[in-house]
Amino acid sequence: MAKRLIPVLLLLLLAVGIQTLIPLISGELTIANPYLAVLVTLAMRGGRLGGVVWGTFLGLVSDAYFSPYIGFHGMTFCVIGYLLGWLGSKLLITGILPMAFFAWGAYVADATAVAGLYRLLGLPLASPFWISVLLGSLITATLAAIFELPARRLFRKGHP
Amino acid sequence: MDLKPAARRPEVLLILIVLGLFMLLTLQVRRGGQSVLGNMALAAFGPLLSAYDSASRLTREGFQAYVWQKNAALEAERLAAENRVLQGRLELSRPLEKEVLTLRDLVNAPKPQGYEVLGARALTQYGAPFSRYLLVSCDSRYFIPEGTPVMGPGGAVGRIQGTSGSLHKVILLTDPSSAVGVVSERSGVKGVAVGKGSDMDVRWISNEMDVRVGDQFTTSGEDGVFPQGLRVGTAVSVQDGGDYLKKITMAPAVQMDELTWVLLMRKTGG
Repeated sequence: MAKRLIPVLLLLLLAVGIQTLIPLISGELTIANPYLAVLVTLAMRGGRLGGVVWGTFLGLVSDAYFSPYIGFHGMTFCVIGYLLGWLGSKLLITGILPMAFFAWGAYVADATAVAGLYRLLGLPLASPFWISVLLGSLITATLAAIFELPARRLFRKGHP
Repeated sequence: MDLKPAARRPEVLLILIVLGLFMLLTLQVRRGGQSVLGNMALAAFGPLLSAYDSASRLTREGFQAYVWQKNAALEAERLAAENRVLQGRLELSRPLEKEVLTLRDLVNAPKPQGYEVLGARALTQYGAPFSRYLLVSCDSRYFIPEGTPVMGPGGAVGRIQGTSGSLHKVILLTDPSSAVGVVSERSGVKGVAVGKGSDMDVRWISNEMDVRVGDQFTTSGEDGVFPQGLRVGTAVSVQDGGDYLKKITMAPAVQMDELTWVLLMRKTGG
């Protein structure tokens, strides 16, 4: 169990490090969500259950960091993690580009779902929303591609 | 859809989590984000946020300190290189500064009436050990007749003895064949200064005359070459001679071996 957690912790540390250093490059880049990139990496290898668990955890972490309310990203990440876990168990996907694509899609899906929930609950949305989503999804896709490189070595022997 | 209960565990978990979080969100939003659950979540994630903030600040500050230090090191390196260049320029400018001071002295020196002055660059001394000559360069457009007196910063230097284009040969006052009429500024005693190589003798002054060590001698103007009033030197040794004439040694007023610029004093009019 501990051996399985160490790679995950390393990836989380990498995510925290990237999130910390990104503002040094540009404040615009903080729109990226490195935890979603980590979720793609973990869920594609962890199956449905792993996707749900890691999605909930990373979503709540994202909520704690990014959202004024707890639960938006927790909910969407949970669903996204489940779907990615299901995809990962059905398809054999190892490339960096597919991971980036899934991360891009996951970011757009997360943003759409959260925006829908905001509308549903009568909360105001920041604008320009979709331009920000596009930029954030591209950076998150890049981060997912970056995370995939160490993940290949870290998860060589087992799944999270 | 006839999956076993264990296989359906992820879906059940997913539905429970989604429903739970949706309820949680609804409660939070209804209470303006200040729900008990929200506060509990904040309390749960508070340490994480705090740790994140600390890590973030630490990393950012550390990185900024690293960047600052790196920039400071690069700046120091750049400044050191600039310093070396400036030191080189300073070394090059020192002779120029000396030259400028010399020229200023020359320009500010009182000019005798009836003469026009032309600047000439002192190139080199030669003729030692038998003679003391100075080669100077002046604009070849000017005609410089032989015998033209030459003045340096501080006083008389010598006179022109030969010309070739822009180059002129100056026989220095310290040359053994050079002689110039001098007068003591203090007592008005007149004599003739004759070169001895590095210094000069003042001759033809009887033992009765009032001459002391430290007396300043200037040109008397009676030799027909040098205008009156140019400083020639200072008496450094005065003795009565057995032939009724004083033996006076005089140090030249101008440091002949440090000349860089001189003035050629050409007679005007008649």
